[in-house]
Amino acid sequence: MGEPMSDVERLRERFIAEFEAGSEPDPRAYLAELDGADRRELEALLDAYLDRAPRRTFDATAFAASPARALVDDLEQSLGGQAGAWPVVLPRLRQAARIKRTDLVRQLAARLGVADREAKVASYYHAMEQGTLEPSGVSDRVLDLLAELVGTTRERLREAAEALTPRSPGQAAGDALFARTAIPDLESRTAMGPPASPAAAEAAPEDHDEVDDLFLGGG
Amino acid sequence: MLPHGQLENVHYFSQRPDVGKPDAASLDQRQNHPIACDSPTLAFRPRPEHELDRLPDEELLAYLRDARAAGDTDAARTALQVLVFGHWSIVVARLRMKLPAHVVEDTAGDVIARAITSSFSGESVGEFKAWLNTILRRAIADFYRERSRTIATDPLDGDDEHPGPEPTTANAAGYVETQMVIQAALDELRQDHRRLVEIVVFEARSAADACAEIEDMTPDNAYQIVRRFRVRLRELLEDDNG
Repeated sequence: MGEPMSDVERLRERFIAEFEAGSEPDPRAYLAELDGADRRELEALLDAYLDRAPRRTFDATAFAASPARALVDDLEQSLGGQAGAWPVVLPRLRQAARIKRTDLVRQLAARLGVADREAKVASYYHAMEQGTLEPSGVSDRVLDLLAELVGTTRERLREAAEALTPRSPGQAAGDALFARTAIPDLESRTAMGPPASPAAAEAAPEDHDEVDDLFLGGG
Repeated sequence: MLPHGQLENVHYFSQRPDVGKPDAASLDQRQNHPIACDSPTLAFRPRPEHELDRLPDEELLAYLRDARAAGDTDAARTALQVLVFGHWSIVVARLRMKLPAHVVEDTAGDVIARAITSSFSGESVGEFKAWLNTILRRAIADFYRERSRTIATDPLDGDDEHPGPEPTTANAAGYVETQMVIQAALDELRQDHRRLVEIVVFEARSAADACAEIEDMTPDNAYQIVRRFRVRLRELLEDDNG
């Protein structure tokens, strides 16, 4: 085994050693040291290694600073809510579409023809992201427009809403099993406005209007 | 490995023909599990984090379902943390090699969320890690398919936070071809030699480990077999590259 170590092998071993030590080496930095077939070989070897890599041991400190924490918060909300995977899917679609929640709500309200009731739309949309709004009540029209804004389809939004079954009837919304624990960033908190809940969003009978029908009436 | 023909657009939480019923292995596992998964009336025993860390993914998911059924919020969160954290870095590292930097974290979240939630919605996903890898490959394929249909959404100001080259295989076909090349190189080997390569090259364990596991394997043989595999893989990659 006396042959000199190739660059590919040296970089492969260094990446794996760092990764197994618990750090998060960026493979792109390793690939950047090579060109052509060498680079392709290293990429194939690293991908094959990661494909088989066992789950990492939990590290509370690393977790607290990791984006994985926000995902756990959203998954908790999904598992404890009544809107399937909406708490996971909706914020990520919105971020991928690079649209702030306030802008999304403004555009959604305008396209629904209820620009004068933007605050009510905001409250309902917030409940959708929190998983506290019954998906079957949200009309196809709302989902079509929302899908357009975030670059997906109504069908995919419906599928996401049906991805999880609530633990038991009536045990989701106000009685959520999980609570969001992550601290939202400033933009999110500003955009979020006052806390919303189904109770807050649902109007008293005398205030019931078209917006309630759009988010509660189904169809 | 996904052949070209299977690179159909995969919808979020789409139903597959092979899903819907638990397989025999998972039923056995649940029957042998000390906690009844579907019956919140039976006692649920929270387990400490270090115990959860040692559970295979499938048992950890079963424990998470039990905790949820029992209404034990803390236990459910701990299990979810162990599962998500354990796979996060692996998924992110793989995606960094395949996707533009600005979509990596969102895609990683989406991939892990899909894998976990589909296992909650009654789908029989088999081995969790394999299912996660399948979703990851499809997510990469979907990204490039979508990108080919729409205008580029890359940030205009670049990505200073994560400097580095764009992915080498910046399209779905290139990625799948690379995986197929690895598979082809492995397929040329007899079973014990293939296992050796899996251990030494892909699991990054020592040749001594491999020799202890594989009958009649010596360190010299192991070295020669691994070396020949690497040379062959390189040849196939160069051929594949045109």
